[in-house]
Amino acid sequence: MNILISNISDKPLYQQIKEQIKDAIFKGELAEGDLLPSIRSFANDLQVSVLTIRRVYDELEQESFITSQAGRGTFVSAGNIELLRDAKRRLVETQLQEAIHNAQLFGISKKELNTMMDILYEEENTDE
Amino acid sequence: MINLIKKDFLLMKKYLVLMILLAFGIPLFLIWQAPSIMGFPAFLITVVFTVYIPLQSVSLAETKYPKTTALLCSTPYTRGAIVNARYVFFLILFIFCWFAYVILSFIVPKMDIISILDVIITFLIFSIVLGIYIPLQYKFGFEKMKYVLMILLFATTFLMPSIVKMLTHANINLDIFTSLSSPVRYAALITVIFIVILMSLSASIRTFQKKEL
Amino acid sequence: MNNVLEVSGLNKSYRTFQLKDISFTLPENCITGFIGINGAGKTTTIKNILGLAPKDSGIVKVFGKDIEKHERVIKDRIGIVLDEGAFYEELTISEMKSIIAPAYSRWNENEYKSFMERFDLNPQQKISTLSKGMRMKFSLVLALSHNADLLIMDEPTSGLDPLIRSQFMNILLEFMKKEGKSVFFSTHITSDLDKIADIIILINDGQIVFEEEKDTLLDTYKIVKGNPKELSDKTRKLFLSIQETAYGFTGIAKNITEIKSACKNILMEKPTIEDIMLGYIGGDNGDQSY
Repeated sequence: MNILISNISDKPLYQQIKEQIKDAIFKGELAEGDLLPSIRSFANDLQVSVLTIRRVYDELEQESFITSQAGRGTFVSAGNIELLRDAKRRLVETQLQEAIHNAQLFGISKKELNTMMDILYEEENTDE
Repeated sequence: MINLIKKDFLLMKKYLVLMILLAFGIPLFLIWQAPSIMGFPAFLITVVFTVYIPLQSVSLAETKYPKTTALLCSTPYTRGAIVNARYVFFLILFIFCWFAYVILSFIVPKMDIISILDVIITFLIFSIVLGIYIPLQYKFGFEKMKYVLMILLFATTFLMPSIVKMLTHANINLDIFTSLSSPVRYAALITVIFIVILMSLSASIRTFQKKEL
Repeated sequence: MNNVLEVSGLNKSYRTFQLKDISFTLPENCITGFIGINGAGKTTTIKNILGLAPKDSGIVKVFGKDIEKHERVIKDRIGIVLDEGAFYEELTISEMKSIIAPAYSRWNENEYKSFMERFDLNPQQKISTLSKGMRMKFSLVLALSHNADLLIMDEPTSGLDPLIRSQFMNILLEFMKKEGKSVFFSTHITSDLDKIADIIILINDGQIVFEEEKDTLLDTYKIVKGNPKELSDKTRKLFLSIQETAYGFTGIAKNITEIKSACKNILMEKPTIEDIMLGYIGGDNGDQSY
C-alpha cells in the first residue's frame, strides 16, 4: 500500500490518508483480514501525529472498513466486502448496459451478443 | 536517605583524607602544644576544625550547583529527606571525631580518656552552633554565611581557652545541676540536645520547602 | 483516553515576569512540544509543574492525581531531563548515578547498563570532562532507566548538533512504542517537532497562546505568497502575519477561502511549526517586517 501525502493539497491530512487506505481496500491491495500497522508505527512512518492516525482508524471503523480487536490489532474488515462487491458489480453492470445499448443501436441481436461474450471470455481465459 | 548522606560524603571526597588527618592530628597537636586544655575544650576544638572543612565543601557545592539540587528535588527524594540527610551527615562526622579521640587516648599515654559528660556537653554546643547556623544558611545562602563560619572557627580556637578559664574561675551556681543525680543530668542534657536538633531541623526543612530552585 | 498531565490556572509572579493562568491538558500516548522563544516562560512553567518553585495558584495533576498530594508516587513515574548543567561536576557518572538511581522504586539496572553502552558512556568518567551532548545523553539514560511513564524535559536538545538531535528524536520514538508512555518537552528548535510531535503548545510572555494537534495546525494554516498590489487593508487583516517587499508578499493565514477570493494569483504552501510560531509572535509585536 502506498500512502503519498501532498503538501499542497487543500484536503486535510487525515482525509488524504483515509481516502488512500480506502482506495487500497477497493483495489484489493488490502484484503479482508489483513493486519493494518499499529497506530504508533504508522504515524512514525508517515511522519504524522498519532492523533491523526487514530482519527483515520476511528472513522474507517465507523464506516465499517476496518475493525479493531483489543490486544490483537486493527484488521481490514468484512463489512466492506459487500460494498466492494456491489461497487464492482455496478461497474460491470454499467459497462454491460453500454454494450447492450450500442448493440441495439447497431442492430446486433441478443443471441449474437451472447456468442460474442462467450468467444471473448474464452479469449480472456487463454490469455491468462 | 542513605544515598543522600552518601551524596554529602561524595561532595567532600577531595577533603576526606585531610579531614581524617585533622581528626587525629589536632588532639595530638594540642597535647604537644597545649596540654593544659585537654579534655572537653580540646575535643571541642578538634570537632570544630574537623567539621569545618566538610561543612564548607558541601555548602560550596550546593551553591555551585543549584541545578543539581533542582534535579534532586524533581526525583522522589523529598526536600525533607535531603535536609535530614545533611543533619545525619554532621552527626556521623561528630561520631567519627569522638571515635578518633578515643582511639588516640588509648594509644597516647598522656591523653586522658574523655568522659561521656564531656562528649555530651561538646555535642550540646555542637548542636546549638550548627543548629543555629544551618537554618540560617538555608535561608541566606552560603555566600553570605561563610564569613560567619570563619568567625566561628576563629572564635572557638582563640577564645576557647579564655572562656574556659573564665568559667572555671567564675562561681557559677551549678548547684541545681550538680544536685541532680547522674542519670537525670544526662537525661536533661540529652533532652535539650534533642529539642535543639528538632527545632533546627524543622526550621531548615520549612525554609528549604519554600525555596525557589 | 486518560490525561497524563493537567494544568489548570497556574499563576506565578516574579519581579520582572509572570505566568498568567497557564492551563493545558495532555492526553496519554502523545508527544507534546512546548514551544516559545527564550524568556517566554517554558522553563518557569516546567519548574512550577514539578514543584521546584512554589506557585501562587493553580492545580497540577499528573496521572490523574494532584502532584502536591501524591508527590513521591508521581515523581517515581516521571523521567526528568533538565538543563545540561544539572550534575555535580566533580563526581563520576557512576557516582552521580549512585545518588539518583536509588530514588526510584522501579530502577532497572539492566536497562541502565544497556543504554550506557549504547550511548558509549564510560561510568568512570568525571562529569566535568563530558561534552554537552554526552551530558544530555547521560540525563536521558537516567530518565529512561526507571520505567518512567512520562518524560518531562526542558530544552533537552539546545546546543546540540543535528545528528545528536536526530538520535534523540529516535530514542523518543522508541520510548513511545511501549503502551502508556507520554513525552512533554520544551524547545525553541521547532524543526525537531515538525516530525515527531503530536501536540503543540505555544507559550509567549507567560501566557498560553494555543494548544493544538500538530497536524491540524499544519493543515489549517498555510503560507500564502502573492502580489502585494492585490492586498487591501481588509485582506491584510486576514493574515496572522505578513511581509511585503517590492517583489511580493509572504504571509501566513488561516482563512484561505477568503484570501483566495480576494487575490487571484497566489501560491500556497504548507507551513512549518516555526512559521506559525513566528506568525503569532511577530504579530504580537506589531513589527511585521524582519
